[in-house]
Amino acid sequence: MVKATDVTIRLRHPSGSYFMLNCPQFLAKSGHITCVIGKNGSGKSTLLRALGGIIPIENGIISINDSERNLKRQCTWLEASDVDQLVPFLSVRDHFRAVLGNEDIDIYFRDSPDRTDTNPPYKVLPRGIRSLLSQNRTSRVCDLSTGQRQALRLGMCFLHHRPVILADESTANLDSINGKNIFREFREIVETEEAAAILVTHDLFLASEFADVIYIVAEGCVRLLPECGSGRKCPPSELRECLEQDSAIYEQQRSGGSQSHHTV
Amino acid sequence: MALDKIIELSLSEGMRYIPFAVAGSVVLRIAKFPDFGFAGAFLLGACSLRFVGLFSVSPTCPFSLVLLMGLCFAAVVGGLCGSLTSSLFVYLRLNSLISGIITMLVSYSASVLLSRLDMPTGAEGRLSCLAVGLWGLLLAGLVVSAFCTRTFLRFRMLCARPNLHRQIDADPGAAIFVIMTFGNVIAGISGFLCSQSLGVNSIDMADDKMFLALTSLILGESVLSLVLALCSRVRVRLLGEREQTASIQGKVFFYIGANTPFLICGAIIGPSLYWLAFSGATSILRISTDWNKLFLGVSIVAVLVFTQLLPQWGASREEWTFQERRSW
Repeated sequence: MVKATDVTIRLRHPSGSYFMLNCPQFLAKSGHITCVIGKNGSGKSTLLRALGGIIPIENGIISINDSERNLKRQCTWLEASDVDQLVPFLSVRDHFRAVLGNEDIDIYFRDSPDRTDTNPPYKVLPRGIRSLLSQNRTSRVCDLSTGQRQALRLGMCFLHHRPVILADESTANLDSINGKNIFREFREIVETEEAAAILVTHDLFLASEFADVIYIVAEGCVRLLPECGSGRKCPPSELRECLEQDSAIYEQQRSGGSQSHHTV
Repeated sequence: MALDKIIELSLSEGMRYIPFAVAGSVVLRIAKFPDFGFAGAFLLGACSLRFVGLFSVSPTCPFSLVLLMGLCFAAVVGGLCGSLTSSLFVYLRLNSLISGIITMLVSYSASVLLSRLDMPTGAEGRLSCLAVGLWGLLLAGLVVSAFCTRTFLRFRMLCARPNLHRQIDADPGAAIFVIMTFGNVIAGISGFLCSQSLGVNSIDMADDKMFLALTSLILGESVLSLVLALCSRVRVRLLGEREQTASIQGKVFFYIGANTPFLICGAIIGPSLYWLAFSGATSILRISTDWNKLFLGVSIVAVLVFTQLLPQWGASREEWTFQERRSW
């Protein structure tokens, strides 16, 4: 469970200006998928980094399973949009070996969709990743397509077995079928492993279909969408409306003189 | 000069510099660090027998023991040079070039002090070029087998892509530190072997050695790339196109030991190729060997232009980009 209370994040840009994000209340329960949506530059990734302990917070408390220590160590990171961070001259197998050690990598590529027969249940890669990489296990990264590289990056992150999964745009570059498969795998993992998944996404269809809770980040503030939750699925059109409403409110506020972006 | 003489000279000179090229491969190519300090490690390694002389070794002591002591000392001072450079870069956050230059200055000063000491009796020139070459192959085998292990594989990945540290749970600073120290240990040993082979251990030894190693590496890898590409084309011509199947040489060079065999083979053949080109050019153009440094510069430019003209065959451009690691 990831909990944030009265958190303020102040991020200074190299130009001297700074960005402020307020998060009065944030809760991502174990066994649930929590989606964070918002426009580009609204602060979704900043929030995610703060929750994972990568950037410091100015005020407030962030805890994972009631502990404020070692946030980094408890999170699995999926920054799959950054596919250039793989090593081009190494093979897919080498990348998995760096995470797994001398364990047999082929076990993770089995076609068995049922995880209950494996011990521990994590020992099968998500279906979408398997389908993209199983034929290319010995290929070098430079020979893979962008989607395959993204799948490799996701696959490396899936093998960590940590209580929190933080994913920033993890399905960017994937086609809709594989993107959906990845979210399905997220669902399966959080339910079987009791992990908390916090997913930043621009894909409102996926957020609508898979999220248990949705937070919206708009113009310096994080708020829960009460419309979506308690078992009710929020359709994408409604999510889009929420985003647009928030923008309109912000425009009104800005014309009234209140701003979240400051310049020193 | 007759062709057989040129080949003989190239092979013997090439073998002498194999250990140093292997060290260069680890430092410049695997750690991707523009390390001037490893020329200093080479020099300190070359002077290490003088240091052994400080311990007033008994004349009855077997010379092999003296050599072993010198070798150990060379490895230690090499490791110290590597750890100093990497510590300055990683922990004090100095620029990579400045870190290497500081180490080089320190090691040159230490070498001046060491050069004033007397050599142990009869300590010069005991090793043949062939013996140094065999040592080079041994060190190359050590490097390849080290990079077959998971720990070094992770370090190798981090040196290439420091931002992977969250994915593979390792510290990029530690990766640089370990690989730089490892490479400089080999540089120190190579200095010792080279001085034993040449019978010289003065401060001039490290004069242009870093550029010699660099030229040898670029030359060796480019020629090896060309040979592999040719082999691949011949294979396709003979056996037909096989979809997504790596060739045997591809498996050996690129998949085993995280691409290290390819780099190390380049380091093994590079020095001989360089000396072949140098001896051939001085013989054909009838120029003096005093033009060695100019030839080094020209050959670096020539090989780089050559690899840029044939990007699909030569060493990739990206591989030669020394990047600052500011992200961590």
